[in-house]
Amino acid sequence: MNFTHPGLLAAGAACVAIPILIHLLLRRRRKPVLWGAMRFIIEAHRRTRRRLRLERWLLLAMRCLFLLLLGAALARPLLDASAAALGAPGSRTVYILIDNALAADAREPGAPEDQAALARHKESAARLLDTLTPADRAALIALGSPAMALVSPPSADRAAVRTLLDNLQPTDGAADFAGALDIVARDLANATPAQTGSPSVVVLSDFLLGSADLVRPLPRVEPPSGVAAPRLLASRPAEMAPGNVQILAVDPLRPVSLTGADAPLAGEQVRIQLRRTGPATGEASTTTIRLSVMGANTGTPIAAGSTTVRWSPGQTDAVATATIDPASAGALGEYAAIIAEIDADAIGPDNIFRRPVGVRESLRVAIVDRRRFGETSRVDRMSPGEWMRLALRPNDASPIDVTDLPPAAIDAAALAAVDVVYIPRPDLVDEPAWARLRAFAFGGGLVIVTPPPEANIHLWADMMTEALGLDWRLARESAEVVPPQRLSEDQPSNLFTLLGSEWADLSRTVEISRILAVEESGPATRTLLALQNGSPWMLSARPGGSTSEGDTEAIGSGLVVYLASAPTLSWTSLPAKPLMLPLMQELVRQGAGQAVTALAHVAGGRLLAPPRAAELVPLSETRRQIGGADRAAILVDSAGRAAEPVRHAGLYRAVDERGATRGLVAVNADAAAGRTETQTGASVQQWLAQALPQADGAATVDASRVQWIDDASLARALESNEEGSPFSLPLLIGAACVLLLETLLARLFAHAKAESEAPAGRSVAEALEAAA
Amino acid sequence: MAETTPNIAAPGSPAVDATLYLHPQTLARLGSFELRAKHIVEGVTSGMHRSPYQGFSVEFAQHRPYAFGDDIRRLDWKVYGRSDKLYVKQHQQETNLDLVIMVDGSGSMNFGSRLFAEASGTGRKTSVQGGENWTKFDHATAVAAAMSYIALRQGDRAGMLVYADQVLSIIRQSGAQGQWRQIVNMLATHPVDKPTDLPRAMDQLLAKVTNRCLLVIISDFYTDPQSIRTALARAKHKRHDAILFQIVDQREATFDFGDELPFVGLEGEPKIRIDPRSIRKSYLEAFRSHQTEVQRIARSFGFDFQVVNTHDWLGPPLAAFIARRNAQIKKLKVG
Repeated sequence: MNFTHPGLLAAGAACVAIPILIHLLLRRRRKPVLWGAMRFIIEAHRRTRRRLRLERWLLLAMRCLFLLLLGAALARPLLDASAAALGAPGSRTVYILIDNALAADAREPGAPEDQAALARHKESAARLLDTLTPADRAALIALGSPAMALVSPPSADRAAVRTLLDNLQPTDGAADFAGALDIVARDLANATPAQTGSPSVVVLSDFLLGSADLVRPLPRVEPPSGVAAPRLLASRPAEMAPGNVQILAVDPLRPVSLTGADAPLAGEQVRIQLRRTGPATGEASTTTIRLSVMGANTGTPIAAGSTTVRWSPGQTDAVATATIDPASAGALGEYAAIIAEIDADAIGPDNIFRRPVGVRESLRVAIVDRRRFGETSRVDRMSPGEWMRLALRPNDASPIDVTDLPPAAIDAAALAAVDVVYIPRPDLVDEPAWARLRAFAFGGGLVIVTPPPEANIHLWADMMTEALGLDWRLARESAEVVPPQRLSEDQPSNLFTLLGSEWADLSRTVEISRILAVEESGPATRTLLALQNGSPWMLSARPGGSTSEGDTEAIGSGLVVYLASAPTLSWTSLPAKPLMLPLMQELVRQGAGQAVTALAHVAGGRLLAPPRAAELVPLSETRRQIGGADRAAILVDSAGRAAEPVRHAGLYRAVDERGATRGLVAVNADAAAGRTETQTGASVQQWLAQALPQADGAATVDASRVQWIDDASLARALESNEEGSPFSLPLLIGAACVLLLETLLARLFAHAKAESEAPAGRSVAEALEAAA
Repeated sequence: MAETTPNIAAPGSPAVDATLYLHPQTLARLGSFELRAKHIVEGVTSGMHRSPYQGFSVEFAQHRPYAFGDDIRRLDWKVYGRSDKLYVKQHQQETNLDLVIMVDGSGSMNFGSRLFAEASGTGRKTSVQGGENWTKFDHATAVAAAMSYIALRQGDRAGMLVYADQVLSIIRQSGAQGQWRQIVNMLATHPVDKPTDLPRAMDQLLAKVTNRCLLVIISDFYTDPQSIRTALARAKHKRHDAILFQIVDQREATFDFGDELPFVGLEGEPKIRIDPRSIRKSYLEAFRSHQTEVQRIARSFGFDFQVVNTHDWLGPPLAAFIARRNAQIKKLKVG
């Protein structure tokens, strides 16, 4: 058993000495009485000695027990050691978890800021701080992803906490409840019981679907031994929320524009996905989408057309396609972005979506193969590299430049000059070269690998998968496909969206007669094309995709594509078929655009910067939109990621150490965080209860341990924490009973009755005479 | 409450004012009373008490048949003439009374809770030995003075002894009218500090007294009842009459103390720290039981027993006691 206020218990125990001290002090001061009739005293003492001793001990025990019980009651014992609160009076520790995620700033269009949920939460937190005593401590943790400890470990400086609270701004990401609870758990783990006192975790949120994803589990806050388990208090989930329309994605059909620097993006098609949530979904409405383009160096968006989405009642998702107006496309430079914007609604940040696009005069493809000198290739003896060169650059007007890269010449400089590397002879690439290719792929490059047609045993595959971090296992030997298979007529991957309408005609003529199959692949692998019998034929994966799940920072921004058949006629008829040219052209164009696509991020994460970027500078437009927040440039670490999480949507220009622009990075509001559907209190309570320590022997956590609070009950809820001991009242009642019993016994043992028996002033002689 | 302190002066001090202990009012109250012995005492001078010796010139007692050897002068010829039988007349000779007062001088007698100035007849604040309290021994002195005064006034002789564990001091019997002053003089200056041994003192007294006496034993009798029984049995055996005066202090009889106190015995008993309220009932039971037992023992030998409270005026209870006693004796004589 532990105590909330062990000092009071010690004081009560010390008070036990009081009756003993009084007894001893009175004993010492008494002057002896010389007495004649001593024999009667001795006789009376002998008769009553045992009874008197018992009475004295009984009274002393009663008095000591009363003081002990009183001290114990005031000390507020708690039976459960894990739930024991050991702080002295006033040493409460309150962790305030305040939701400043995207949905917390939801309000009617044009409404002032104080109508947003965040303003209410800040007001509640301020009121909570006012109820604390100077000895209490408070921590402030913002839930905007990733959760940020504004004040942690807890501080007794309430003024500073209040200042930070007042300056708290909404973010454009989701609410990171798990991260915030991790911060609380870490702080409790490092705190001593005396520092922690009675910990309480107060969660202030509306628990809209965008903020609280009830499917994701919460970490349990397990206090170390001796530290009291925290209580969990939460504001009630909102019962009503405004409607919201948000842009989920903006996808140009070609992520890299090769139309030339004179007219970039002109005529490019853009697909826009929209979603609407909240009570307005039951009504018909329209949403106007306005497109604009902006170059990294222009700084000002240029209107590039618009389109309208008509919502039918009950419709929640819509896809619109718009075309960039050629008249609007000016000189954007090498790095540009498409910006889609819709009308203002409850949540502003998700009404704008920014999508970086690559604007290139041409794409550069390196084919890693031995140079063949003096041979005139016949069609039936052409190598895969030659077929690829032919497919990518059929004539001089092609915007794709193809160069030869001998395996021995693979170095950083050579790879820096190309966008795509095609390896028809992976058996010729040594380990250092694979390491350089890994860096190339991680930096956004596209690596295409096909099996060497002449090899019988394919031992290169292990080296490749290990170097590029792929969870593939390739067969050791190629296998003949009997009978030869055609490509599946199913709609291919969106990588080849532009081939969709003609795919059936083009693929029908292609036969695959030999493959080096991928026997095993992980979940990160995408099958781009498959044979009719279902065998994967073209696969893709992000470099580093075999690393532990969830570790997104270990995954590169480029792409690795594997064709199971070497593009030679001995393996497949593809090189000689019409599909070869558009397939390879689209593969290179879309694959190279993957690196650009990777530059569109969701707020709340650490950005992946373009290769060779040293820092990310927000564009002036972004600075205006985010009201000055994140104004300073964000440094990029050696792994190519932003040194700190970016919590606000906007466009950032990636510059290298010399100040040259290396790309545009877009940060968009987290679409999932903008969902304004409400959630029931019971489900939220059950979800939050996961964070509470499990009672000994209990299979599940009791959801009722999560206590709802509102503004009025906020202070009262915390005060009840001080009175939460279930034993104080019984102990007080016990102390009162002991006191009553002691009083009765003291009166009984005081022998007042005996005193009244002998009448004062009447002599024995008179008594005897009266008797006679 | 006045503090209780033992008196420690040695006997034999210069003469003290006897009226300190025997107030003139007390004397006036006792003046009309006679002190009679229940038993027939043998005196050396003629007095108002019956003598156990029959003779010629004394009051007729009874007839008895003549036996060979009887003096024929004591034959009642009138009876012989009427009945032709020989009877001898027996007579009782009247004699005076020897009063022997035994005063307990043990340590327990040195307790007193009444102020000396309040109890003494003269208003003096301290005793001869300097004590501020009127002790039981002081009260015993007053009783002894009163009893000796009554005896002397009716022509009897009075003697006195002080005892504790043995006889400490003796004043032999005398019929001189100033005898009671000598008794007061000795008692007023006598030390009071030793333990009690009444049987031994009684033995020593009986060895010195040859004639039958009226013994007046003045004590608190805070001793073993069995030893009192032994002492009284020996006195009875010697055919003495006895009156027992138990001197009791009011505080001892009520034991009305408050908080816990250490008690120290005046006769060397060990110190006991106790809450008086808690033992008061048992104390009073023991006290009364002992008193009843002593009274029962005295009555069993035909002796009188009287309790005298130090806080009471001596005259009325003493006068009432003597009157009652004389009435009882007359009743016995008639019977």
